[in-house]
Parts: sequence; structure tokens; C-alpha cells
Amino acid sequence: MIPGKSRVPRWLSILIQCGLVFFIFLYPFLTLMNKLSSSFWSELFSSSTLYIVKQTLWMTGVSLLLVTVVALPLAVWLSRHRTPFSKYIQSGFQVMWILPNFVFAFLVVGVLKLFGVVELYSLRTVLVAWFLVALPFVTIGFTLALDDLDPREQEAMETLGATPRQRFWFYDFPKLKRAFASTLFHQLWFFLTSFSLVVLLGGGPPHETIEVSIYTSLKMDEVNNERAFAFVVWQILILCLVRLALNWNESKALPVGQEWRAAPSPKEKRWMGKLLLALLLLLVSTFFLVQDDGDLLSSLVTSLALSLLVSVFSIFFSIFLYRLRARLLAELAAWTSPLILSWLWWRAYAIGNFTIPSLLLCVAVQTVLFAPWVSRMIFPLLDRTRYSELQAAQSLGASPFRAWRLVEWPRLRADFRFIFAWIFGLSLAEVSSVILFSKGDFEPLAVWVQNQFSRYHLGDALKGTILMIIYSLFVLIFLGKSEGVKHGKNESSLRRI
Amino acid sequence: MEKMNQAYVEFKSFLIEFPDFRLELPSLELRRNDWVSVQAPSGFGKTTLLRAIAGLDPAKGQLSIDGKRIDGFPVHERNIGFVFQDHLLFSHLNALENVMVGLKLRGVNEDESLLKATELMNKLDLEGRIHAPIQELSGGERQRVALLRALIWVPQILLLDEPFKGLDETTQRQMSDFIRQFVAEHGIPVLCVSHQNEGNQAWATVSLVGQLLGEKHHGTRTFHRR
Repeated sequence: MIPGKSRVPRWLSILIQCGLVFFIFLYPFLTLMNKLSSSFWSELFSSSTLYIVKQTLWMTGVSLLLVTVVALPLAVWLSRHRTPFSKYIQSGFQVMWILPNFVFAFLVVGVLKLFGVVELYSLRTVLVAWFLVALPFVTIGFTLALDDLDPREQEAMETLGATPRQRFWFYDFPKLKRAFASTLFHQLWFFLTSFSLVVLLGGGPPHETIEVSIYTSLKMDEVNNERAFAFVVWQILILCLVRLALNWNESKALPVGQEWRAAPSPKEKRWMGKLLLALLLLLVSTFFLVQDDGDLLSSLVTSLALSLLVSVFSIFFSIFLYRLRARLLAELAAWTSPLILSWLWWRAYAIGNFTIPSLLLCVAVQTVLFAPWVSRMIFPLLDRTRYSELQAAQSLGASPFRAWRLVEWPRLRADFRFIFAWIFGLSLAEVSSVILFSKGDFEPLAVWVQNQFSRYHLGDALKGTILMIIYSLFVLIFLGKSEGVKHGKNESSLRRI
Repeated sequence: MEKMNQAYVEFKSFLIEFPDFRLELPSLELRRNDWVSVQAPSGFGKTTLLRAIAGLDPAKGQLSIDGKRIDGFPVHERNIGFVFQDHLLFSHLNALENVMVGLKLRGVNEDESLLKATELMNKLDLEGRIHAPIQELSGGERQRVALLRALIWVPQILLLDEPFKGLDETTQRQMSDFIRQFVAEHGIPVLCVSHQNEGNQAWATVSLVGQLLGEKHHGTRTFHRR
């Protein structure tokens, strides 16, 4: 399948899209709605529901504002100063980004308590934690967007007399406001669907968010479908409204790989350093595995297989959606939380009676869950397909696939590798969909670690966490970094989402 | 009149040096209405020379305008107009906004900028394209917008990098007449790199011709006055 201009007939594309929307969203939602009692409507507008919605919006708004105020100047500084120090900051942020959420939560608790900054279970703790979690993601998102600007145009702005500050306000910001908004939307989604951090640090009321309320309404001993669904509706409504307000007609995503970017410089390939680091990581992980009785190894192998399959399938699924021109469909899974979607699918289709191997089911579920994020990165890349060059290559006798390999693949390779690495890390840390669909016949590392935490086997939990970080880093080191050279005076290396 | 004949721009020991590239400009004094034609083979470093004068590439030596040394100044403080070979228009702005951006950066009143920009655009037959997005402009229209963008705020010196490239004869003539009239009116010296416009050599008051001293790839490139 060659990404590029779609040859799928319009009617077939619409038919497939309608089918996917029905099976992925409508049927699960309708199944649940059918079982709801009339108390759903009173739950939807009850004062306690509205209070939690208001509380979530307030917490989200404050956190977004705080993180934007810090991340924007930091990103501008990182983008303009290519010093070793700024590179270390970026690398550090990337590592924080791939940490599983609950691991990050524990780290935040530790650090905050160590410095006596906050007391646990206070609103300030949750806000500080959200800020710390969001800062690396938003800063990296902003920096990557800034790095994607054409430095020659920035120079042109300077020759017209623009000071660095004016250049930002008259050139950088207007060009990137959609990319900035896209990053913030992504972050908003994270806040609205944030669960583990709030539970661990806020503990519930009065600092309860919509996601936590959904979870508490679905606890096995006291299931309240009406209340849960009322919150699901509010969550979708808020995300839809924000999404529409952003008027996403053109650039849907963080810009990835602009055309002016030059080919990677061979000098920047530091293979020896990477190899040594990889060997060190392997040594550490082998040390942990040798000490273990086999559980850890089996969890690790399952996790790696699952993450590998999910990364590959997510990329192919996004390309498939692109060829269907299914932009709206690609985004739908991002309009609610992964926890809710997995749960709805489980209720509608599975409820423990599925015949498909559960590992494959988990791969399918995660592929659909991660599709919005993969699509947000892949679609803009494919939008920039150089059709005239593809045609030129074909006129020289290359088959369509060979032409694509020749013209487009060198441009896309680095970004595809990074997307693969990112999804690999996400899948490695994914818990809720696995718990729902695994039938207990396999236990990936993230679930294993969570179980060790809940049994207070902190030593084992720490070991598993370190292994997860090691393997995320491992993939990021080998696949995630794409270096490019800018034209013009800046000659800075690029990194894309 | 006397002022017009005084040296306005001065280059002294101007030198651009990279590990495998060395380009020298002889000491040169330009008057307000001088038109300098720069000729050299492709790959010689003509664009690099213009970029170094604008402050976009590093250079050694002295560069003074109106008696004030500007070689240590950052790009935005040099007051040098630059028409780039690739136009480099800002795609998030329309044609008019592109022309006005230099005035906006200098805090000129919006109405005044608008009046000035539309007047100049009319002179170059762009009246029907004022609000057109950059992507919809033809090559010639883009070139004219780029020229106006660099001229409207009356720079102290104008650098033209292949300004007539790819234009038909009528447009070339129209543009060159406009430039000559504008720079004569405001007393702006011009450094112009152009292959295609014979007029560039015809009306040049100073001609600089590139010459390679030493071996082909690593020798010193220099310009001498013809």
C-alpha cells in the first residue's frame, strides 16, 4: 500500500467509514444507552455532576495556562539556542515523555514530598503534578513546531528590521498558532482524561475530575451506568466543543518534516555512542531478568510483542484512514478517554465471550485507540507528498511503489521511525485495554508492574518500571531520533514528533 | 547635490571566510545613487556576498553607511533592503500585508502604511492583486511584491539577488525602471546580482567582476572593478 493520492472510490470510502464509525462508536454507545434508565437525564444535569464538570474545567484551564506561560518562552529559547545544554534539556524532556503515567505520578509524589512543596491530596498538588507532566510534552511540541519554520523566511523577516521579539510575534506565532493550538488540544485531552495522577495525588473529592468520576461510577461493587454515561457525555461534549472552536480545517497536527529540511548529515550519526548506550541498557535489563523466576521475562516478551504489533498496525491503520480520506474518523477516538472506549467496546462486543485470541484483540483495540495520535503525525506528512516528483520517477520507468521508495521514503523514514518509537512507548505503558481484553491469559509488563504495586511488592514493581523505561529508551535511541540540517545560518538539528 | 557625490557606503577589507571558501571584496566607496553590477560565474559566491553584507553570514572587515560602521550590527539594525532570489514571501500574509510588513515593524501608522503600499502596488500593476494570497500570485507578481516589501521602508542600501530572473522582457523593463526611479528619488545605492538583464550592466555606475586566484576549488575569490 503506497501512501499518497487515494484511488479508493468516494462511495466505497464513505461506506467503509460509515461502517467503522458504526462498529467503533455508534453500536457500543447505543448498546449502553439502551440499558440506561431514565435517571440518566437527571444525572446529566445534577448539581454534583455539574460541580465536577466545572471543577475539571477550572483545573484544566489553570493547568493549561500555567504550562503555556512557561513552555512557550522555553520552547523559543530551545529553538533559538542550539547549545549542548539546550539539547540536554530536550533529551531529558523526551525521556520524561515516555515514562508511563503512573510511574511519573510516583516520581512526582516523591519529588514534591522531598522538597515539602505540597501536601498530598490537595488541589495544588494535582495542579503542580499536571504542570510537571505537561511541561515536557508541550515544550517539545512547541519546539518541534518552531524548528519546522523555514529559517530563510525568518532571515527575510530580520532583513526587514524585525527584532527577535518582533520576529516571534509577526512571523513565528502567526505561522504556528494552529500547531500550538494542536499541541494544547492534545494536552487538554490528557488533562480531561487524566486518571492515575489525580487518583494518586488528589484522591478524589473535592478534587475529582470527570475521568475519575467515571471510574468511581464503574467500580465493580457499585456500578452506576447512568452516572458514568452522564460524565462520558460531558467529556465528549467538552472535547468536541474545543475541537470545533479550533476550526481545524487546514493544519490538523503538529507539523512534521517540512519540505525544506535537508537530508540527514552523516556526521550526525553517532552510531558508536548509541551502540554503547544500548549495550549498557541491555546489560542492566539482563541483570534484572537473571535474578527473576521467569514471570518478569514472560511479561517482558509479551509486552514487546504487543507493542511491536501495535506500532506497526497503528501506522498502517493511519495510512489506510488517509487513503479513505477519513480525517474525522481518525480523530474520533480522541474525543473521549481510552479507558471509556475500551470499556464500551468490552461491554458491547466482548463481556468475556470472545473467541479471537485475546492478544490479537488487544492489538486491535490499541491500534484504534492510538489511531488519532498517529494520524495527527502521519496525515500532514502525507499531505506533503511530492506528486510531481513521483510522476517524474515513474516517467523514468519506476513502478509506483519503487517511485515512492525513491522519492518519498527518504523524506519520511525518520519521522515514521519516530512515530513507531512513540507508539511503542505508549503501548508498553497501556494498562486499561489490556486488563479488559486479556482474559487473564497474559500479563504484559505494565500490568505486571501495576499488580506488583497493588500487592506492595515495591522492589519487583521498581524492577519492572526500570525495564519499561529501558526498553522505551532503547527504541527511542535507535529509532526515535531523526536529525536534519537546516538551511541558512541556524544550522540546527531538528527533531520532530 | 554635493551630498549625492560624497561616499555613502564604504567597504574596507571586506572578507568572507569559511573552512574551504574565501571571498574578498576590494575597498569600495559608493555614492548615494550608485548602481553596482556584480558579475561572476555560478557558484562563485555572489549570493554569499549579499548575505554577508546584510549580516546573514559572518564576514570580517569594515562596512560603513553614512559614516557609521554597521559591520557589528545584528541583521535587523542594519537597514539594508534585500530582495531574495527565491522571493521568500510570507505565506501567512497576503500581497498587501507582505508589502506593509516592514512599515508595521517600524510602528508606522496603519492608514499611512496602507496608502503608501497601495500607491506603490498600483505603480507596478498589482492593483488587482492587493488582497491575493501569496500562493495565488504568479512568479512575476511575487517578484514585484518582494521588491516592494524591501523598498517601501526606504532602506539605506538595496541588495538585489537575481531580481529579473524568469521575467518576460516587458516586466523586466517595468521593474528596472521603477527601481531606478525609486532609488534615484531616495538616494539609495544598489548592489545587483543579475545574469539576465543587460540593462543592469548598461546603467551600472560600478561593475564588479569575479576573479578566482589560485586553484579551482580552494583558491581565493575576489572581485575587481571593471
